Amino acid sequence: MKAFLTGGKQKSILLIMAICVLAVFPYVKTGYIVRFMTTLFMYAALSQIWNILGGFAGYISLGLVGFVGIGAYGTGIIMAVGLNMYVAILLSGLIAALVAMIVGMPILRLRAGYYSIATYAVSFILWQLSNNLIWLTGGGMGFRFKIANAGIDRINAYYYLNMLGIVIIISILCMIISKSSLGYGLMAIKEDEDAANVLGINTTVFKVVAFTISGFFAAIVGGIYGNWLTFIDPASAFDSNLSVMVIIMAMVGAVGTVAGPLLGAVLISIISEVLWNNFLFVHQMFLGVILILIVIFLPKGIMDIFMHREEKLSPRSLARILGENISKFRV
Amino acid sequence: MELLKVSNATKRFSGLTAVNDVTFSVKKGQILGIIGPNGSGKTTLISMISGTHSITEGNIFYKDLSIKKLQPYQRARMGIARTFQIVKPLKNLTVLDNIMTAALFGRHQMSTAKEISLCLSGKFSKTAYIHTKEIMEIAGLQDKSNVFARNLTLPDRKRLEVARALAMNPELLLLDEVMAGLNHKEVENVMKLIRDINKNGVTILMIEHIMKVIMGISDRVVVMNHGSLICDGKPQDVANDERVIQAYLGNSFKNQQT
Amino acid sequence: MALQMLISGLLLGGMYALIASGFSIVNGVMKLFNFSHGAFVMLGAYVTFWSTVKLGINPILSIPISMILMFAIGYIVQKYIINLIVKAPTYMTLILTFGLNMLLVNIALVLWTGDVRSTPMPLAGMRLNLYGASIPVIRLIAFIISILVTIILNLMMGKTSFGRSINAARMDLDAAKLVGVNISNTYALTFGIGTALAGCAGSLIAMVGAISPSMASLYSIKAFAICILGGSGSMMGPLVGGIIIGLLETFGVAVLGAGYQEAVSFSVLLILLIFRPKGIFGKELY
Repeated sequence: MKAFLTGGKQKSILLIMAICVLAVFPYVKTGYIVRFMTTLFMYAALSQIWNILGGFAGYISLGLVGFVGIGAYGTGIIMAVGLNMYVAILLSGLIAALVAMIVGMPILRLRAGYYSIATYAVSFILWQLSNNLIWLTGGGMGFRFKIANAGIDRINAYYYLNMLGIVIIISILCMIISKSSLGYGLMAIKEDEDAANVLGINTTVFKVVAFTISGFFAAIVGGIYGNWLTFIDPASAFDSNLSVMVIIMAMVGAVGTVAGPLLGAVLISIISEVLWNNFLFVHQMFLGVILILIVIFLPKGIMDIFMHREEKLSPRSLARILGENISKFRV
Repeated sequence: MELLKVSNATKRFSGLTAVNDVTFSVKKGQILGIIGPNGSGKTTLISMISGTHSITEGNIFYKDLSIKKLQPYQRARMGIARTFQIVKPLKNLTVLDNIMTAALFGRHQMSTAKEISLCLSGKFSKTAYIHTKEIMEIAGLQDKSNVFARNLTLPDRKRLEVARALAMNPELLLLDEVMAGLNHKEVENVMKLIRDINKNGVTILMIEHIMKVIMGISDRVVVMNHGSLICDGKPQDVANDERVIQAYLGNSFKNQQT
Repeated sequence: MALQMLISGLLLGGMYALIASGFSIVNGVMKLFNFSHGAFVMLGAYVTFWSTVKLGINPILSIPISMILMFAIGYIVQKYIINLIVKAPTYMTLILTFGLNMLLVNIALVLWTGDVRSTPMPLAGMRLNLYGASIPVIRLIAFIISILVTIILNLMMGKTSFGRSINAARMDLDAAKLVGVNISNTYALTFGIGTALAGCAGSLIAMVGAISPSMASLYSIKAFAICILGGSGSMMGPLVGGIIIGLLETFGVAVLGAGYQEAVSFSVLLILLIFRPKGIFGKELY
C-alpha cells in the first residue's frame, strides 16, 4: 500500500489507464450503474472540496450544501434567462465565490467550533430563503430545468462524463494545493494557528481563499447536479444530509490528503448503496454510527493506518492505532 | 542604530497588570538578555513585541516605525521571529515541512493581493527548499528531516523551534527560554548556535534563567520583576545591583561572584 | 397587539431558556458543544406524546418520566461514548455529537415516521385574557414550569454536594481530580442533568405545539444561539438569552412571516458570532 501511494511514473500510467476505462464505461454498460457512478463522482468531488478547508486547515464546515444549492439554483435561473449551460454554471460559481468571500471573512475569524455551527446556520438560512423567495426560486414547488432532447442513455452518459471531469479537475487542484504555499499555510493553521501567525502566515487571507475556492467549485458541482436532476426544490438543493455525507466520506478516507476523500467517497457510497437496498430506512442511522465510530477510533481516517507507519501492520498494532485517540482524550 | 525600542509598554489583562511601563531599546547586532523571577512578565513582553498579545498602553518601535497596531504575521514579515517557551511544533508535519513552512513565509514583504496570488500560484518553491536544507544543517537536524515533529525528543523540539525562527531570515530573533530542560552539553551547543547566529548579523533578545548563559553571551541585560523593569545595563553591573540581588539572584550568587 | 406579541414572546422565551440551560451546563462544565441536545429535546417531546396517547397519562405527569428517561440515556451516552474523547479539540466532539444527533433523529424517524404529531391536551383552547392579550393557558403553565425548573436547578447546583463537584470540575479539572472528585462520574452526571432538562423542555414543547423528529437540529442550534447571546455556564445567561430570542422570533415572524422564524434566530446567531462572541454578560462561551 505504501509503495502504491508513493509510486511515481508507474502510478501516473495506472491512473491514466483507470481514467480511460472510466471514461468509456457509460458506453459499455448503461442504466442504474451509470447513475450510481455519477453520484459517486459527485460525492467524491464534494469531499475533495470540503477537504480543502476542512481537512487541510481543520475548519470543519457543516454547511457545504449551501454552496451546492447556490450553484444548482443559480445555474437554473441563469439558464432560464437564456444562457448556455456551461456559462451559467461558471457564473453561478462566481456568485458562490462572492458569497463565500463575504460570508467567509467574518465567520473564519471564529474559533473552529463556532465556525462549524456558523456554517450550518448559513446553509440553513439559504434553505429558508430559497423556500420563501418564491418569485425567484419557485419556493416549495421547485424549479424545473429544460429537459434535453435525447435518449436516456445518452443523457446519463453526458452527466456521468461531466461529473467525472469535475472530480478529475478537483483532484488535480487538491494535489497542487497540497504542495503549494496555500497547502503549507493551511496545514500550519490546522496544527497551531498561533504559531502559523508568528511564522508570517496571514491566516485570515488563507482561510478566506480556501473558503472561496470551495464555494466556487461546490457551486459548479451543484450546477451540474441541478441540470442532471432536471428538478430541484429547496429541500433537495439544500439538504443538510449532503453536508454530513461529505464529512463522513472525507473523514473515513483521510482528512488532509488528496486520495483520502476519494477513497472515503467510494467506500461510503458502496456501503450506503448496500444499506439502502437492504435496510431502507435505517441506513441514515448506520451513517450516524459510522461517524461516531470514526471520530472515536480513526479521526484521521482509514488511510492513517497505512501512511506514516514505521511499524508492521498486525492485529496488535491495529488495536493500538485504534486506541490512540481514546488514550489521548478520555477523562 | 536602534533596531527595537520599547516605550512605556504596558499590558493589562482585565485586572492584572502583567507588564508595567517598560522602556528599553536594543541596538542592531546586540544580544540582550532578559531575566527575572517567574511571573515577572518576560514572556508577555516578548509576546507584545511579536504581536501575539496586543499592547494596552505605550508603544513599540521597530526600525523607527511604530508596530503596535500590526498583526503577528505582519511583524514576522518585517523580520521579527520568535520562539515559544512551551514549544509549538507543527506536530503532524515532518521536521522538513515545519521549517519549510517558515522558509516559505518568513521575511517576505508583500501586499494582500500578492499574497492571494501566491496562494493561487501553486508553485513549489525551490529556493525555500534549499534554504530549509541549509537551516537543518545549521540546527543539527539534517538526519531527522523526515521525522514527524510529534516524535521528536524535547532537545530536538527546541532545536526545531529555533530552526524555524531562523528559517524566517529574521533581523530580530526573540528567544524564550530555549535552554529550559536541556543538560549541560546541550546548553553549550545552543550557546554556540546563538553566538553564530549573532555573528551573522541577527539581533537577539533572549529570556533565560541560566545565569551562565545570560552572563556569558549577553551584551546587555534587563531585569524584570512584577511586570516592571528594575535594571538595565551590562551583565556585570546588573549582577551586582542591589535591587536585582534582592529580587532575583539571591545573596549566595553575589557571594559566588566575589 | 404589541402586548400580545410581547407576552407570546416571553412565554416562548421561557421555554427556550430551559432548552438552553441544559446545553449551557454541559458546555460550561465539559467545554462540550453538544449538537445532539436538540435530539434529547425531541425525544422528551415524544415521551410525553406517547405516554399521553398510548398510556393515557396526564401530560404534566409525563414530565418527570421524560426527565428520568432522558437523564438515564444521557448518563449512559456520556459515560460510555462521549467520555472516550471528551477532552479532544472542539471540532472532534462537535462531529461526534453531530453523529449522535443523526443517530437519534433517524431512530425516531424509523420508529415514529416524520409525521408531525400533536399531543391531545386537557385545557386545550382555554385562554386567559389579560388587558386585551389572549394567553393560551397551556403556554402559561409551560412557562411557569420552565422557570420553576430553572430556579430549582440553580439552587441544586449551589447547595448540593454533586453540585459542588460539578462546579469544581468546571473550574479546574486537574484540581478537582486532586481533591477526589470522580471526573468520569461527574461528567456523566452533568451530561445527564443537561439531557434531563432537555427532556423536560421537550415535554413542554409537546404540550404546547406540534412535534416531529426534524425539530432536533433546530433546537440544538437555537440552544447554541441563546448561550452565545446570554453567556454560558451561568443561570442568568440562558434565561436572558432565551427570552430575548423568544421575543425576537415572535416579532420577526410578525414582520417577515412564519417561514422566517428560524432564519431570525440563526441570523441573530451569526451576527453575534461575528460581532460579540462574548454575549451580553461578557462571559466567553469557554
